[in-house]
Amino acid sequence: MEMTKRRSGGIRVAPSRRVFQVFNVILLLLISFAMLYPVVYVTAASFSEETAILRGDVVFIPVKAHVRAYQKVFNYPLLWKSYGNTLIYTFVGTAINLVLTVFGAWSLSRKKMVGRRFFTLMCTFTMFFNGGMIPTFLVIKELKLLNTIWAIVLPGAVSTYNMILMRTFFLQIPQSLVEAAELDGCRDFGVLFRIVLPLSLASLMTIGMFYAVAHWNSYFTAVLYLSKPELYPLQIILRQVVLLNEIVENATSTEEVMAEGIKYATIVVAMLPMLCIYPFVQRYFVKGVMVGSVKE
Amino acid sequence: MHRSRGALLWRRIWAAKYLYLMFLPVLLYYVIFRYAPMLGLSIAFKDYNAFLGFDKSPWVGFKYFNQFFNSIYLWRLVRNTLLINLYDLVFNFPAAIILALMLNEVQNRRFKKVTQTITYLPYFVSSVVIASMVVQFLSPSSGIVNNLIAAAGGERQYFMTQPGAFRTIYTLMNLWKSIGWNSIIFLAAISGINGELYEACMVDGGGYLRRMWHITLPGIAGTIVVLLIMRLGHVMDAGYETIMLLQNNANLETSDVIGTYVYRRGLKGGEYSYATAVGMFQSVIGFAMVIFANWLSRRYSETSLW
Amino acid sequence: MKHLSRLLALLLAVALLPLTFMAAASAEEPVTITIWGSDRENMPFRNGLMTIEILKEKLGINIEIISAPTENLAEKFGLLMASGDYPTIVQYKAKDLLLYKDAWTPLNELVNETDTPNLWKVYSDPEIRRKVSDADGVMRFIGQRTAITAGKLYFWRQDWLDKLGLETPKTTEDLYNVFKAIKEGDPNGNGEADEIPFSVRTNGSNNRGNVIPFIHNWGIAETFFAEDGQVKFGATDPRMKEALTWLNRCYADGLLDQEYLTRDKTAWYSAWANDQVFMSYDWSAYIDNVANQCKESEGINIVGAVPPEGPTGISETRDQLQPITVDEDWNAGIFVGASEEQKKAALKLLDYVYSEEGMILMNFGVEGEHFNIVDGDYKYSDLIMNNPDGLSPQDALRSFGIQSMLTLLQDARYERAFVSDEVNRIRDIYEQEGHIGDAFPTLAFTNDEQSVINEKYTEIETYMNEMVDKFIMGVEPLDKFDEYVAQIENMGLADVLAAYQAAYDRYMK
Repeated sequence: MEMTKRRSGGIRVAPSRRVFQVFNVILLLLISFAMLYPVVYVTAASFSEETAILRGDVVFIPVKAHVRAYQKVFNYPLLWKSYGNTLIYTFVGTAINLVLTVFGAWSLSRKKMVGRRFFTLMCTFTMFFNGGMIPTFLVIKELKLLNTIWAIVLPGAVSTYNMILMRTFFLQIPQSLVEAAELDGCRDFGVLFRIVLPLSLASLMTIGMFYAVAHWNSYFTAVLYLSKPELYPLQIILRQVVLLNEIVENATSTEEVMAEGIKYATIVVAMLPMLCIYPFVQRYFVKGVMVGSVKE
Repeated sequence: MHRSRGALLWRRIWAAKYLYLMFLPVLLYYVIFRYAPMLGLSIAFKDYNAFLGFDKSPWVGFKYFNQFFNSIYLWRLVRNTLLINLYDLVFNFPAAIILALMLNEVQNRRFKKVTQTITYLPYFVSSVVIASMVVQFLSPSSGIVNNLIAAAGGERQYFMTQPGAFRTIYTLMNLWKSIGWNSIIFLAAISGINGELYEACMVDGGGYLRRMWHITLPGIAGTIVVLLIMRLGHVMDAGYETIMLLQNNANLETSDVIGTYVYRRGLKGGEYSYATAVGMFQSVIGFAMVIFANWLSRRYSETSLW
Repeated sequence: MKHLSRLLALLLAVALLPLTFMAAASAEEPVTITIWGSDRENMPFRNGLMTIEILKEKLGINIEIISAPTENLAEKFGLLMASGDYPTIVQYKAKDLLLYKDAWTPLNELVNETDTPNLWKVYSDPEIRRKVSDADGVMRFIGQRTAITAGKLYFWRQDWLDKLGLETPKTTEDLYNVFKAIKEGDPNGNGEADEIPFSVRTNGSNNRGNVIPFIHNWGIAETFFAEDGQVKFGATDPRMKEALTWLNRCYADGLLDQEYLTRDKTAWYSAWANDQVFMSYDWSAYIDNVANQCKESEGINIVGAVPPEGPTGISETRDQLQPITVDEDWNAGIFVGASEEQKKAALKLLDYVYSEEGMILMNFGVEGEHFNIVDGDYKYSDLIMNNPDGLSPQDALRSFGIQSMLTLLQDARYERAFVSDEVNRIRDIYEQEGHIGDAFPTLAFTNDEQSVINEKYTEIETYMNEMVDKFIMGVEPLDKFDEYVAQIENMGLADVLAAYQAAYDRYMK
């Protein structure tokens, strides 16, 4: 908020404002600490010795640190392949998501689109009613998409929830700007690309991030539609690593396990890229540059 | 008269032809991947056998709906589902907004970025781990919560077996996990507010509270309303996976929701029909809620879904 | 003219050539069968496994595996049955296979002395055969014949008994007194009464799966069991009240783990590792696993224990493995729509796996490579016991496909090889000295019976689950037991029992 910065450099800063800010920061620090704890614990445990974890000795820092859990994870044959798979699925998937969602949200936000209420209702309806696991599977199967990347990226190509959110953002763009662009000779696609998108960076990045994270974490879709291990995404492989180290339930013979440590290591491995996403995205959380100076 | 109205309509459609073109792939998506499978909803009215298929499975009408409605536990399940969602709506939803407002007031960009990242990280720690941490924290013998209570002279409590505590525990766990993530959308919305409005307010002598109340909140009101309406649509759903992580026989009274009950029954083997019938019930209620909420919102505010 | 006819002859020969190749090829081309089964990293079931390759070679059948991830087996099975694309053999749980019983080839005729002698050796016994048949007595699949029956057992810290000078408890009363002595005697020597005499990890869908077996010593099972030909429901039996009274006493006096409802495996190991637990109940190998976790506890000595005798002298456990593991993912059904050749090949495979040769391959591997016969005893080789890739012996075996899916005839000698002597000792005692109670068989229901059960049992089960734990924990006083029984009867217990009785009578015929 550049406004406040300018302000505190110049004029007066009310004492109540100061107090509020200090209070705010303290509260945020406490919240951060509470939020941080699960992450800190998981990370520490992933480097700790198994018995130490079980005894409850791990609190903030690793106990009898070692990297064997990570070695087990990284040495897992399909791990790197699945990392690559997930990257591809995420990029391709999110690209498709954004294109379709933007098209849908923009067209549904325009008053001049006849029947948009009907179409919106049609889309909203699907948020509540869906055929279920077996019927959807059969559709994918009939389309011959099983065991292809399309089975991963197409069934979820549009999230109605995200599309409605984006439409809400589009609706906040001043009509005057749109009209000005149209007067300049832009048609619908032109308005979208030249005016609306540059102004919507925050929402684009946010919705894009929502989709990307969903792809990154996705697991069940792959279980349903993939049966070739070379196509598996990261989450499936990670779960296999965890399962690998759990004793087969009807244990009639002993096995050596590192179950806890591995469980935590897999979470860290999956979570690491997420640490970078928000700082990257937040750069776009600035007010869109106002093109021209159209007075409301 | 009739002809000219039709002609006018056609002209308007033609004027919006590029928008239709734009919407076409989206439409195709919905038809193929959402509506085509919906034909499968018919299994709610059949004794569906996956091997026999849709056509050969016998028709039973409302049998499974009746079974669900005649259950002794119907009221309890519905009540628990509704209440859990209500707690979430009343506490967690505003909490995310408040967090966004608080973060927005932070001056230092770096601190803001770091804090935001920290608050959304728990979202990526799997629910299984968070649930077992929660159980651990609440353990009467070794959990931190009870240790504090004992230190303060109170009596140790086995919270996980107290039905009265379940909703609070579950709601807090969800809060912990998702508040940061949920606040992101509000932060994005805040950044979309016209900066000139803030300037104007300050020139008028408005303090930070004034600005928050008169500019920020109204500025994101549209987003809030839309999210609220969509959230209301899920008031009859409650994801069974996470609840099952905290559920045990002692707290069934408040922790048993529609989803967990149906899951247990489904465990008896492939009872897709029953599950679909109950799911349909949840969807009908949810959709009705959305229609109602949307109508309300259309009457009293500028925002609505349609 | 001559050229033309020679040309024609040549053309004819060329045209017929591929036909001869085709004929020759199809005469040699082996039948391809596909098998669908559970696959997980430490128990793989996929193409390329050593055992599969050997089976292919030995039998002259081309085998293709369709792996289904263990974690989501139930969903994958549902999708499989709906997909319209069926493999030759499906390996899964009996109950679920029976839901689609018409999908599996009836085997009554096909399993006979001449065509499938090895299968016949086992399935000629009507007792065994009925375990793999549907409600009409039609044999629908081949199951896994287990080698041992003592799967789960009690175990405790003998060093604590010794330290406090306590005698080995025999009856439930003795056990209660020993628990009390442990709680008061501070055997872990830390000055706090933090010992948990009996602690288990949560198990089963109702979490008390490892606590409830105590009631078996009163002569009942928790849900359905048979007594004198009659199917009864243990949770409403008067003996249950007695058993629950004992459990409640233990809980109220702090002898039964106060947190048993939420103690997951990690928390349970934690309690053991912190020298708090005296006695537990679990799968036999956990004796070794727990000892492993407690390596740092000085002087710890975990031994197996027989069940405490109930008031009528019964000392048994009823939740053991059955002779055919119908509740596991191993049952193999042959798809009814497969071709005749495929069905024949499938039976050939299953029969081979049940043969002496096949059993050795699937349980021990290849002689010289995975095992050696030393003094008449089967001993696993270094490749297994000291695996160069660092795999545990069990994982090493399974990585070759040994002791994985299709191991339908298990051999006891395999089981003994991997556990400590103590586990073997106590397992023998359980099996030989009558501590294995009757397990209620998995029954095959008709559609109507299944319908009644589906409709009423979930409610009964929900109520029962809630109340039993409340009785144990004392949240609900035991004088309310009669009301609870009445409520369950109100929920239609009689109808459910009738369905079970009908199925049971058919089963016993």
